[in-house]
Amino acid sequence: MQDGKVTILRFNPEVDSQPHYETYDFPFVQGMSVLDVVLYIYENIDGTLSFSYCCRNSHCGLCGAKINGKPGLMCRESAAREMVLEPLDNFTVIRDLMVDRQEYDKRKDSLRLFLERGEVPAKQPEKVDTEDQENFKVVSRCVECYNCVSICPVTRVKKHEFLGPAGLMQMARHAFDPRDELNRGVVARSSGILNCINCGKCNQVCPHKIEPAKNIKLLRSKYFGEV
Amino acid sequence: MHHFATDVLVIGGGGAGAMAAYEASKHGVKVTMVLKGFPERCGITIMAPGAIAGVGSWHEPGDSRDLHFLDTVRGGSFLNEQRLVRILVEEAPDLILELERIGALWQRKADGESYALRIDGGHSYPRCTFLEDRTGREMMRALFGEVKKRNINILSNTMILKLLKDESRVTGAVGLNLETGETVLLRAKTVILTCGGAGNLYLNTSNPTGATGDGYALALDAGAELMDMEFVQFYPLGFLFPNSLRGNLGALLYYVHLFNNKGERFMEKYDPERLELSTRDRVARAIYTEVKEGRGGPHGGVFADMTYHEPGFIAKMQPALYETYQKIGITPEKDRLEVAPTCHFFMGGVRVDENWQSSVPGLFVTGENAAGVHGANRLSQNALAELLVSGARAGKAAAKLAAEIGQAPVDPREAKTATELAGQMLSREDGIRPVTLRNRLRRLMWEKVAVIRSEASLRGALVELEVLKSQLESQALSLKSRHYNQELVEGLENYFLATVAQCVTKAALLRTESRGAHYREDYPAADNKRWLKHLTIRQKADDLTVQEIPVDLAEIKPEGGAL
Ligand SMILES: Cc1cc2nc3c(=O)[nH]c(=O)nc-3n(C[C@H](O)[C@H](O)[C@H](O)COP(=O)(O)OP(=O)(O)OC[C@H]3O[C@@H](n4cnc5c(N)ncnc54)[C@H](O)[C@@H]3O)c2cc1C
Ligand code: FES
Repeated sequence: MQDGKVTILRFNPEVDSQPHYETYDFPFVQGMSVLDVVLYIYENIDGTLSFSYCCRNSHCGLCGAKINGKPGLMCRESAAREMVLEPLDNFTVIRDLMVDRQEYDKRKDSLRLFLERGEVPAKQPEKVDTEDQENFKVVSRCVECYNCVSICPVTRVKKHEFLGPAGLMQMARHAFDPRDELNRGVVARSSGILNCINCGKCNQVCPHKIEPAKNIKLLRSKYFGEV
Repeated sequence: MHHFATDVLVIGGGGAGAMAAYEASKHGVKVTMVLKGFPERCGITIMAPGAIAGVGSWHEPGDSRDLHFLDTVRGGSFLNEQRLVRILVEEAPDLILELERIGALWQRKADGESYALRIDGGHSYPRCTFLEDRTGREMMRALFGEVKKRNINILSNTMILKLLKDESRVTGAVGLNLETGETVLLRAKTVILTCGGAGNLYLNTSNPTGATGDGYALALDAGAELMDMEFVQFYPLGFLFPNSLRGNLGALLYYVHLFNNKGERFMEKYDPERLELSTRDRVARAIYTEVKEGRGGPHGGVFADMTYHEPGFIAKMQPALYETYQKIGITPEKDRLEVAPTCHFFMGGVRVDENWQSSVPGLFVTGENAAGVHGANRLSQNALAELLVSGARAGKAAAKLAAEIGQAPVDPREAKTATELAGQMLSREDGIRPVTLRNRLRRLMWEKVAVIRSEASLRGALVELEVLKSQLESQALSLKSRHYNQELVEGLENYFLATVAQCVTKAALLRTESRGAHYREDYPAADNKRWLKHLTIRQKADDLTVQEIPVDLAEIKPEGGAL
């Protein structure tokens, strides 16, 4: 066991006027996760430290934070002996590392994120093209942790004109579904898909290796004939 | 106080809740879903990697629904309610298709048409449909797509603290809005309770944070009966390090050899023929015994060895786990992983009828919150099937009943009392932190009421539980805010956990035999003469009364008494 040091950006809007950094010592063990560190502080040093988590295993997408400047899931990333933790960018901070994901969740409400189809075939299970299913499968891995939204430079400057990678991945799930009959190009356009500059930053922070930028490109070529 | 009225109230937004809400909404009634966390971000279902059991038109030659029935009842050591099992095996297949009709897409064989199927412990044939290693999430996505499409009202981040009822039936529920701190009074004609399991009762668990048995305690308080609470399933191979990963599923039995700290492949002593491929409960007991007798590792587990595989094999077979191994500093090609049993599933729950209605009229209970399907031990992949079947049945029946009856009046004063606890906890200056109390409870249950039990350990636990229960009243918080206060949630959940702990312990003490997941070292054999029975628990005033009731053996009986 060694000494570790973690600096966390603290902010409680009910009492603080400004966010401020605080540093804590923790017993560092090789292989521990960032979540271990915040849990240690919560249990042993400061019970007011606020953060979100639920599944401890990359499924719920709730524990995202900026770890040494890079968005990641705290339950998935290994802790370093010295770290800085900050809330995700591009989201409103509720308290400390806890951010308001509902703002973003609500933006997806109008996207018709369900299977749109007139009739189901008489014979079930129906035949599905294997290649189509492959693309569908990849984007369906998204757990909506919003790491990609927080690092997206277009979202930062055009918050209202550009839905951002996570929402577009949800849309892609249906756009890539061979059974879906809705032309999702209309919504894709109004969600600002053409604003994506394909910088690929989102690809680097996706815990489930989805490569949102690549899939946004696929969506664009599907509806707007771009290559 | 926030007032709200609906026809059908669904409490919980896991797979069982979403299925129930979807089904109920088909029948022309107003449906409202209330859940402790955020949609698709809470509950156990999003974590289920496996598959859904069900024998449909796509089945393997030789497989049948009768065989699925038989496997399930044998696996449950004949303690299953056979009517419910029959409904499970008959109705799950069409619901698997139904999920595809609303947007899920299951993995197919090379022809692109018939389902790829998985086999797992206890099933005679591959009969389980899946998508990669995230079947539960796929179910949730499809179901929540419908929930949105149908404009089902969702109250997220709202924790239910009490069910309301009058003399004849359930009339609604009271909750706390965890964002605003406001009391929420929900009036309903019928209620479907789907709060999942209670893995957080134990030190090691594979369950997410919110699985604290709220639904068991809420139903008990409303006058319903709990049944089979002594049957708690432990998965043998949970992670022990790091702490945040503790209890998460760490490895598969097919891919490991298990060693103690003396370098012995100890399964040779416990099941020389099948070794690690013995049943889950046996392996769990073997590990527990090795550790208890001092042959464990530094974190309280044993060592899972995967070095005998060809390099790259584990990475190929279990990519997600392999990545986790690497993150925590284990290279399966050369290192051993320390593992221990972990609390995975509750076979017990609320006693229900064929429509998953409890003994309290209008109160339906589905998914892991209900009892009956799995008996003394659950077969893998039957839980996801169960939540579909129970959700669909209860959703339909609750909607029909709600269409026939009127809204009953409720007393807002009752709502106030139900949430007073939160206020008290927030204003208490000194006391014990919920997390401290929680850790004590989890350790106590792990040491005395887990994989191996005895009269002495259980009696000891009951005494200590009394003490812990009294300490609930002195819980105090570091963070005094009413908004998004995780500590407050933990404090409230502790009340539910303590009640569930008592139920599990009491039933385990009374059942003087070993069956399925319940193992008594002082009564190591199954006793069909005495114990082919359920234990049910009811709350009378402040007391828990336990009763024996017969098991439904409508279709098959145990052969020659041996199990
Ligand atoms: C790691 C893991 C893997 C598994 N894998 C498989 C598998 O592969 N196949 C299989 O068949 N089974 C599997 N199981 C079991 C199965 O996943 C669960 O039994 C099932 O998902 C439970 O679903 P549910 O809807 O009943 O509960 P949950 O999905 O847990 O949902 C419960 C809901 O109730 C809410 N809630 C709880 N308390 C309150 C309250 N007081 N007020 C309001 N809302 C509340 C929660 O927030 C949540 O929304 C697995 C279990 C685990 C832990
Ligand atoms: S805790 Fe769920 S993703 Fe990290």
